[in-house]
Amino acid sequence: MNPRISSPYGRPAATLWPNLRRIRTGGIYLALITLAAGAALFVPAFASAENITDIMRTVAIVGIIAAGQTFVAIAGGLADLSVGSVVGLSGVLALGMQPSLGVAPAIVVALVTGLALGFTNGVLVGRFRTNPVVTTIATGVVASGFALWYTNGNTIFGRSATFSSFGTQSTAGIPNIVIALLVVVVLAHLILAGTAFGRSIYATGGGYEAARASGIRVQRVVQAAFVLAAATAALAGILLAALLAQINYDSGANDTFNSIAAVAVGGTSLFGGSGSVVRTVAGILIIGILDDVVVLLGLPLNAQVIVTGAAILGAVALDVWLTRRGGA
Amino acid sequence: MILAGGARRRRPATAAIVRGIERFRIFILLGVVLLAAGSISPHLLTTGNIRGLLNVASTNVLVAAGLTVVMIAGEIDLSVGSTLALTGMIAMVLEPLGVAVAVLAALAAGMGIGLVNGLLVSRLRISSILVTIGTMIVVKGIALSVANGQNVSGTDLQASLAVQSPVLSVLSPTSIVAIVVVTAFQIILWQTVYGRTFYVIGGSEDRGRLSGISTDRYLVAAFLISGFAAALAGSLLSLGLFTGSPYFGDSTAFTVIAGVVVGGTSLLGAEGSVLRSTLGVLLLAIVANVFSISGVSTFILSIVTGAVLLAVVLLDSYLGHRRRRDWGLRRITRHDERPAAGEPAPR
Repeated sequence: MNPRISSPYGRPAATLWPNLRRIRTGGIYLALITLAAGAALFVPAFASAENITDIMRTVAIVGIIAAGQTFVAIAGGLADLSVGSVVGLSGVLALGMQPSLGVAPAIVVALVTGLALGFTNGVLVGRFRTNPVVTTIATGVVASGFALWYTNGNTIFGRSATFSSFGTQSTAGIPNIVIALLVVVVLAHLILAGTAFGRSIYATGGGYEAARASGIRVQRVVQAAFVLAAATAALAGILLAALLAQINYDSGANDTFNSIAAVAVGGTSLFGGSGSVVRTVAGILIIGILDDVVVLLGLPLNAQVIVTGAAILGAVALDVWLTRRGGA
Repeated sequence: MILAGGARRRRPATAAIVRGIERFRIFILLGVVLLAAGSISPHLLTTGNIRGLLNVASTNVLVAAGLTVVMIAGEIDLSVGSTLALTGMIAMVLEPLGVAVAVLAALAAGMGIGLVNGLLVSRLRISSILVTIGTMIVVKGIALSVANGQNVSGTDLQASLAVQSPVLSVLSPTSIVAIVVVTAFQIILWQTVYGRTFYVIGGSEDRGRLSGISTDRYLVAAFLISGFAAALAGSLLSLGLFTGSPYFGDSTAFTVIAGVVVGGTSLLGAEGSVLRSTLGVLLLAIVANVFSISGVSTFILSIVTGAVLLAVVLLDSYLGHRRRRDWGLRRITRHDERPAAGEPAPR
């Protein structure tokens, strides 16, 4: 994992290599900085505090989901394709349960439902080793169906002013949902980079049998990764409901692919073993800045879609190119 | 692995049964679903319903046929839904010039997308998941740009009606095309050296390359085939519905992947067949059909669809379908991570 520990032949690594390797692994940050600098130079309205806040607010929901998605990817679980449905389901529960239960219990119900779905995914993929793609498609279909049944296909509107104001207002000039994103990202990073559990996620994704042989309870690690992904998705659904004060059963439909795109653009391997939450944040910022620039330049929204796709291809190609040059 | 070991310890008779279930899984599943569906709704097996079912299912069957080739080669194509939408719109824009021109242009566009996917995956060696998520989004954007997010309608209603009206008992031109494509793909994959090669590179690209196969060319071919099939599906769908929409195909990738995997084609590559994928897609289509004609809520439908999918993946893992392999993913052992001979294994 750490390129400086050993070289291919067990000899100490040559002195030049670590530096080159550091450049290549930092390619994504280089891309982000270049993009931000370019936008600040050439797009007049870009470099204002207001616009930056706007970007952050736009990416916050998907960013939170992507942080959870990163755990699944690093653990080698490929991706959780049910997150979009979990967002919709927890969102409609959080708003729909409020009149009968009150705000706080409704949020708890939404979170618990999300966790239960994540637990289901985790047990199936982790313990029974079912295919993660089909498993999460299946649980996603069930979750969406449940949300559709609960709402009857109608939009649910928020009735609690305090709940909605939490989603729309700011604390110390920073929107609350951006603060939520920062808290989730910092927590996720601390878990991944600073705890034994985090290291065991990397180990499991890097080599399942090796991790098992070295005493890591791989089944639980995979299980936990899926629970974390669903937890962030449920949180995102609740925040989305608070932000919009209305929600649909399919409000999270685009979040699944967008969160995977953020993880992938950041350079976290979807095949496990490498990556980080910080990379995912860089990925989501790249997509967010590009979307913002397209809007600021007055290009049609269709162009935004094309640019996002091209950015994903570009970032991935850049990462691959730098990796090759780094002599991996 | 534990599961494989368990299978080996079973008594011979049980082992034979397990192997039989494994081998004919999709046929057994389809039989069970047909019986159950037929008893729930006697409407299922009426001529009119079968015709409609085949017309609707043909789209996903065609997409699945192409996707199966990509998956046998060990890759995945998530851009099929967007390709379906874009090629459908192209077909409708060019429809005034004649159906043949429209379909040919759509096929060219689909194969163009496939070529881009194939080149990026084979030359740059980028994971096909990432590449096709990227092209999926780009192609969707182009499809949105064609008519500024609006639908495109056709001009010749008679030609449109002909695409889905029966010509041979329950078969319409759409379903005949689907049957021809599935049969052709099945024969190519099973009976020709060219087709078998996809299984070889899907099992291990390195082994394929070392045995002298130009793996790049086969990867590009697989994505070309997938783009072709999605374009055929898209143009026939739009012509048949008299409408091209950028939102067609939004859920196609999920549904088709689910059907393909239910059919028994492995996401790991080297396993599966177009026929099995077709049956898997048909199975999901029958489930959806029987619920729509018996008026049961979409809630129950989604629960049942989810349950069928989960049953299949659980059965897969129970039977040790993926023995010798890690779950769902091809593992590539990098040379520099392997301990050299005589060296102790890293701790």
